[in-house]
Amino acid sequence: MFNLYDVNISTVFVTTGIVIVGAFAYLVILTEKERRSRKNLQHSLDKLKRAYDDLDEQAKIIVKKDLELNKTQEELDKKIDSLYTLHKLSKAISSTFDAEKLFSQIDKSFISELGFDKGLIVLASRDERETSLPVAVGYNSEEEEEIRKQLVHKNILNRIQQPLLVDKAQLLDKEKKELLQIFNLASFCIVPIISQEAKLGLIVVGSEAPYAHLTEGDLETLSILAGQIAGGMENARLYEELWRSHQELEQRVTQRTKELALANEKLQKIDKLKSEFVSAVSHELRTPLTSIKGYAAILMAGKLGEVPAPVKERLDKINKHSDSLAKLVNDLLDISRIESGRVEMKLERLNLEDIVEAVADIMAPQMKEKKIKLAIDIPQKISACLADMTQMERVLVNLLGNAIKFTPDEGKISINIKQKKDFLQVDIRDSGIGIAEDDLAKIFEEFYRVDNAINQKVKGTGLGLSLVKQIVEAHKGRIWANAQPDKGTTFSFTIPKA
Amino acid sequence: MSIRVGVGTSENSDAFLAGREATRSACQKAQAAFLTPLIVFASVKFEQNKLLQGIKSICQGATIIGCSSAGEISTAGCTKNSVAVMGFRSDVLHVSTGLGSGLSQDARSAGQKCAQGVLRAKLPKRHVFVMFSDGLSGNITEMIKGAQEILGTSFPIVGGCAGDDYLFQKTYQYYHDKVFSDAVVGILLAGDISIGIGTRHGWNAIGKVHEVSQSHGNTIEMLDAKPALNIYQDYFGEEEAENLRSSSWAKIGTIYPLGMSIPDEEEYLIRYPIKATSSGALVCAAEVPQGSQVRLMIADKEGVLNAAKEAALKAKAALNGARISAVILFDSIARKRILGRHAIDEIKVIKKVLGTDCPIIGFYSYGEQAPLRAERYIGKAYLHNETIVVLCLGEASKKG
Repeated sequence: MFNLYDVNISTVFVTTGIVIVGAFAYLVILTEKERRSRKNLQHSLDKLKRAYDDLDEQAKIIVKKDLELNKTQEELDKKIDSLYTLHKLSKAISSTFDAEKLFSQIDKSFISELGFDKGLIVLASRDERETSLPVAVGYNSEEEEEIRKQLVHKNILNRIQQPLLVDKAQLLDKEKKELLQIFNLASFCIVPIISQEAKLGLIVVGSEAPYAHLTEGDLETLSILAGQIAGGMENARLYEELWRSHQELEQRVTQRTKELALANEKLQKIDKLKSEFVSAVSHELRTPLTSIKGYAAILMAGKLGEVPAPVKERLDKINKHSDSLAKLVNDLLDISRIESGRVEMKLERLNLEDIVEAVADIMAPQMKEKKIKLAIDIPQKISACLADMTQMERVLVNLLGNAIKFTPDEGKISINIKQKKDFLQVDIRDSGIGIAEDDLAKIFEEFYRVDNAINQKVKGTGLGLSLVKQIVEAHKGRIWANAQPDKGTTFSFTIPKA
Repeated sequence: MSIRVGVGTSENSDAFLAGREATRSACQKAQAAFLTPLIVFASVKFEQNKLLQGIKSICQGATIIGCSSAGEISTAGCTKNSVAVMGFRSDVLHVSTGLGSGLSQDARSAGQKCAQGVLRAKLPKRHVFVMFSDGLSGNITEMIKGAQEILGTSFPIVGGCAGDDYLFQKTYQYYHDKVFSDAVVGILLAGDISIGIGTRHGWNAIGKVHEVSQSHGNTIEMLDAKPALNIYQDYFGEEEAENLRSSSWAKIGTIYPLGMSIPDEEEYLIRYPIKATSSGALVCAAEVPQGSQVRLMIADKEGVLNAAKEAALKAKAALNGARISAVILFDSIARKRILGRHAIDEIKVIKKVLGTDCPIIGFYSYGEQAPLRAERYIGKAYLHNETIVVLCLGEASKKG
């Protein structure tokens, strides 16, 4: 028998048992679930971790590649920049033969464009005893002097035979340490400057910043630079030699010219004396000669008695010789007259146009040489003039020649003939340097020369215009000039119509 | 109500003449006979006192503030072995200056003293505090904290650490007519003006996250419980990592710095290793707290230039359309190194954004200071590396 209580108790027990078992089962199930989900979580975490690690591995590859790229890019940038800078320098070097000018190109901005802070060029003098620093960028004058002293003292110039890269951050031998101390740089390149014949010096460039490590690329750049400088210096040396011998030659030519001018002056003096002598002697000779001829003629005519045949024969000879003597004296006198401006004119009817064209033709080469344009303007129906042809030619050659002489390259000359009432007027206009007003009145005087740049270069006698004036005036014409400085000159002369 | 600004530079080898030339040229550009304040950045190759004397010879009595640098930036571009001077002529810009010395002994107190100095004038309408500090001698993070304790943590601070042409020996700070070292100088810009600040570097994280398991100050001893140098060995190989040990400021550390992730900030805070010790610890350019998460960083020139553009855009936007009167740049030497001969492109990019005729002065610095943008930092300034900070000064914004 059991009572409710028992039942109840047992029910409670059973129920409790079931609940416990159920709870336990539930717990077991729950734990299993959690275990599974935890496992899943762990699995996911593992997966994530692996992905994370993979990403990190990839990051390592990326940064390594990036570093590599960075380094290459930097080296490339440096190369391009330095090549560009070197190119600029080589253009400058090839346009100068002056070593000093060459060094002046290697200035602060050049050194910094190459990517360095300081730069030095050390040169040995010819006897190798002196050392100079034509380029010292980034050093003050005291540092410069100290470096110069050290270089001489330690015989650095002779010791450096190969390009050298020195970096404070690396392990250095004794020599490099010594160099580092001299140049006071954190890192630098040093390259000998060698021409075909000899070692000329050294070039040093470098950086003060301890982080700016130089590379083999810098050394290459500097070697190119050293080569360019050597070439430039060699050119400058050759040019200087050439220039010196040229100077020497010039000096000799000047000396000779002076001597010749002196000799010429002497000759002219003698010439003048000769002219005067000839003129005087001719006059003195003509009078007695006329007498001799006159008396001989009287004798020959038999006015003073019968002349025997042998005497007549001799008198005939006297007459003949007197004639030839008179001709000779006349000729001499003519020469002296021309020289003294008293010219005999053989006037004839002339077509001035023909003469102008003939003269222009003669002078064409000089005009062509200076690329001068000549314009001739002559009216169609022009009257003939009365003149001595050779003298007229002489006038035109002189005036046109003058115009060419004073007209600059590619200038203009014009010749105009105007028909006036009784005469023809010839104007010769040039686009040359002109004549100052003070000089205008004097240019027709004998031996007068205007003081200007062209006259200083081109020799002349100072007789041309006075001769022209004599000739024109001998033709009863007039000659004058109009001019302003730098605006050209016009020479005008008149010649009577026929 | 106007701000006239002129910038002049000189590469004259005589310090006095260089200072004179640069200042005279700044006056000419500003069309003024006297300018104040003058901001000066110069190479250490100049005899610093003579340089300031040269500057003073043109603008007697002007407020002079600035520092030595590792390259000078001006409207014309970037130069080295030079001096750059920016001068102001304005009835709306008001400034006060401060000096804190003894950075190496107590950086925090130096920062405090400098900030206290600028507050002495009690200028209303304060906009930004600009600091120029020695970057070699003291803990700059501490110095910034010191300044913040005086000015308030969210007051805008920008600045740069002085350079010495990459010699990493001794830098100088200019305070009126005196030259200091191991000091911080600062200038507070106040008045009816507006200010825009942009800060960017352009590096991205690559690879795993690493935990700084042991560090003190700017030295990371252990990363992921291994010697810190291992990270560079892992990624680049033994040979490249060796460069960090053998030479200071090795290239690999500059191009691939470490970055600290900062929640809600767009960019990581860069910390680059200057060198590795024999035990394999990395000595960084700035503090790396123990427990922080760091990653290796990677960048390309394009990214670096783009960051400069972003910084300029950000600074410009903050001016709300006000005309830009002057731009001051704090540009990391690391950026100059990465851009190499194309460093000028960075200035060009900035000019393109801000206007080609806008007066610019700046310098290549050993560390940059600027506020972080994320909200939880409430504009609190931090020390950055490999970063460009663009500070734009404009006339008062029309919108308020």
